[in-house]
Amino acid sequence: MATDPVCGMKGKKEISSEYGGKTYYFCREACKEEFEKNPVKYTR
Amino acid sequence: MAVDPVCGMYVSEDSTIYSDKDGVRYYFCSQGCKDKFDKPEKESSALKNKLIIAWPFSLAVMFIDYLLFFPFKNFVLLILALPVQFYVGFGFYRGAYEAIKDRMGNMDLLISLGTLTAFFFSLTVTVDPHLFPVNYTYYDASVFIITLILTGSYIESLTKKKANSSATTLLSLLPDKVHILKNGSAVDLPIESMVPGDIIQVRPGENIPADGTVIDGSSEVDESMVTGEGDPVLKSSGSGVISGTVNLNGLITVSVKETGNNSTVNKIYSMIQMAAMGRAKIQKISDIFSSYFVPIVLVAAGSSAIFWYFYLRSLGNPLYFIISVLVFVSVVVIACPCAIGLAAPITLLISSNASSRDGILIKNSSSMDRLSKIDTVIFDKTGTITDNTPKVTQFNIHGDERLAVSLLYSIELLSNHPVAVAISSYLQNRNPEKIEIKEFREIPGTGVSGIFNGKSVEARRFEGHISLFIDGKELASLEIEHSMRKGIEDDVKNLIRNHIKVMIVTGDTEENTSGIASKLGITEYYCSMKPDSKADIVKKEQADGRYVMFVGDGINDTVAMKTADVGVAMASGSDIAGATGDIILLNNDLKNILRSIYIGKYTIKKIKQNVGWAIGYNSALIPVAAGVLVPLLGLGIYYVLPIFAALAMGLSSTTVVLNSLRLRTRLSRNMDQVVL
Repeated sequence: MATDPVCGMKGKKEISSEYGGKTYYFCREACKEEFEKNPVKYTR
Repeated sequence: MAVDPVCGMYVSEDSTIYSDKDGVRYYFCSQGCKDKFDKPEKESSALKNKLIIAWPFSLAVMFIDYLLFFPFKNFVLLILALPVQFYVGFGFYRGAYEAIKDRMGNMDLLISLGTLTAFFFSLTVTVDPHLFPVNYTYYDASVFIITLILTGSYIESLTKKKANSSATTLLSLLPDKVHILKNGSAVDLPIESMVPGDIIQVRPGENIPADGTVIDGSSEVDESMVTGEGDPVLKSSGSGVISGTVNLNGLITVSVKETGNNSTVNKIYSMIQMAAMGRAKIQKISDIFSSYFVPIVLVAAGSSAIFWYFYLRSLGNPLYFIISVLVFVSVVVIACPCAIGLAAPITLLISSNASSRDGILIKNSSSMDRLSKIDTVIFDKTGTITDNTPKVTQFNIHGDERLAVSLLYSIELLSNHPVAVAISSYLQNRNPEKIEIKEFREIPGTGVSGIFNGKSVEARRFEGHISLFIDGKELASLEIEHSMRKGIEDDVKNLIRNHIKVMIVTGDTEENTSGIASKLGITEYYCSMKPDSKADIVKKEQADGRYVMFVGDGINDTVAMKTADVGVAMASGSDIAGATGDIILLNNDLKNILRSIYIGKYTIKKIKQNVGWAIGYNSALIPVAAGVLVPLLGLGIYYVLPIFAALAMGLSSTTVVLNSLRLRTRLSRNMDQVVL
């Protein structure tokens, strides 16, 4: 089960982003865009 | 898959039970959770009414069952149990039915299974007393499961009401009736009938019902309930007013701009509520627990029951069927994950309410984990460390004084820029004449211009001063200065005392920054920075492993604030809705920076305590319900275990709620003595 790192909701398989060799899943496109602006913020 | 914001269970987005609030759709596991979400105020009175019925009947069942012996006793118990079982407990069955329909599991399903198993087993014994070796019934367990769990919910709803008091007080600031001007005379109408564009009258002592602009009259207004600032603010023609604030001493006529859900008071209320619906990172643990919980509990309950059934039968114990039923009921009831679902939302609700008391609005509670780790605070200078509104320190006139004063006053009056507002209010004391300016234009970053008597007029902003030109010739100049916010020295000192690195990153010059930085004891500062470069400095600090909070004015610093782990916007009153940032400081008090970090740390600590307690409680008590203590205490414990399970479940939720409530006291501490 993957949690959207931006909002904390459950992520969807079809909306994902790679960072630091790991795949992150998001509940919606807006969260993915927010994540990609500054992944450090959401991955530590 | 969505998460029920009330109980924390996973819900399919195909679910037909949902509510739309502020543009977001929330899904619920049951109608009960939806009702709690939609009408929280009705929940406690409905629960109270049910408990008034549940307790006398449940106590009567218990009393007769244990103390009286007479023929047809089981029939009397059945009759006494019926109202609790099917009227009071109806909400659980409805919730369970909805869960089954959506092929999901929820807490209602577990409670229903527990109580109905005990009830129908007892009913069977009542109808045919010779079916089993003994004719014991368990109506006491079936009704007490319902009564005790509802009592827990009632305590929870009372606590939520108390926790939510800051938010609900805000809404009570709006009057029921408004005086709308129609054809020149005031008509008293319900507040709901007011629309943007209406002209309303607000009399001395009345609360202002909407956001708007004063078009006539003047008065002092107490805005403390919204901005937290104690001193009344003078409002006259052209001033903005905020809904929920109190008109102290003058009659004012207001042109209504925002009403209902769009008004400031309603927006603050929604933000406090939404903060409690957010998901902190730590909730991931409870999410995992909740999503697998119902099937795991059912398997645990079923397999324990089967084990005891065959084990006791093999020993030749005649009570094997009865005990296995009681094992099933106990496990199912004791394992209800109510406390796990409650652990984070109740803490966030209390935290967001307690923060709003001090003028801190937590807009984004998913930033709570990052907030708790902040070790670097970057301040923007202008409008953050210094006051947003500058002060005029010198006024030089190079020609006709009357013309210079009136022209500058009239042209600056047309702009909302803080510098223009400062100049027009400074010149008001010099009795200016209001002159009509044609073709008024505002050039961002430069100043204002217009036409007067066919001549071009321009008030241009330079570094540290403003000049008034008429047809290109300088007529007057003013020197302005941004003074530091009151108490900022102590606020920065308190941050540094708590080992937080403090920096200034500003678009202003070295000359204007170095003095302020050294006065505040800040050694690291960056000047002449563009919005993007401010964000780069945030990223650089983050790359060094630091957790960065950026404190800015919410408009020019948007990029840096979004990049930072936590963005804090300084907002005054009506800017709330537009302000970016995870946190909004309503009263511009920088003491609240340290307080916010403190709130983050203790909120996360409380959530961790609650999640740990709730998971620990479930993990420890499921084996007890399944029978690990039987070798020590004997099979007799199953006569009381179902009731004990219901009591433990109610207590676990209450413990979580009471533990969270302690947060209120902690968060009201004086920041001068706080150690993070």
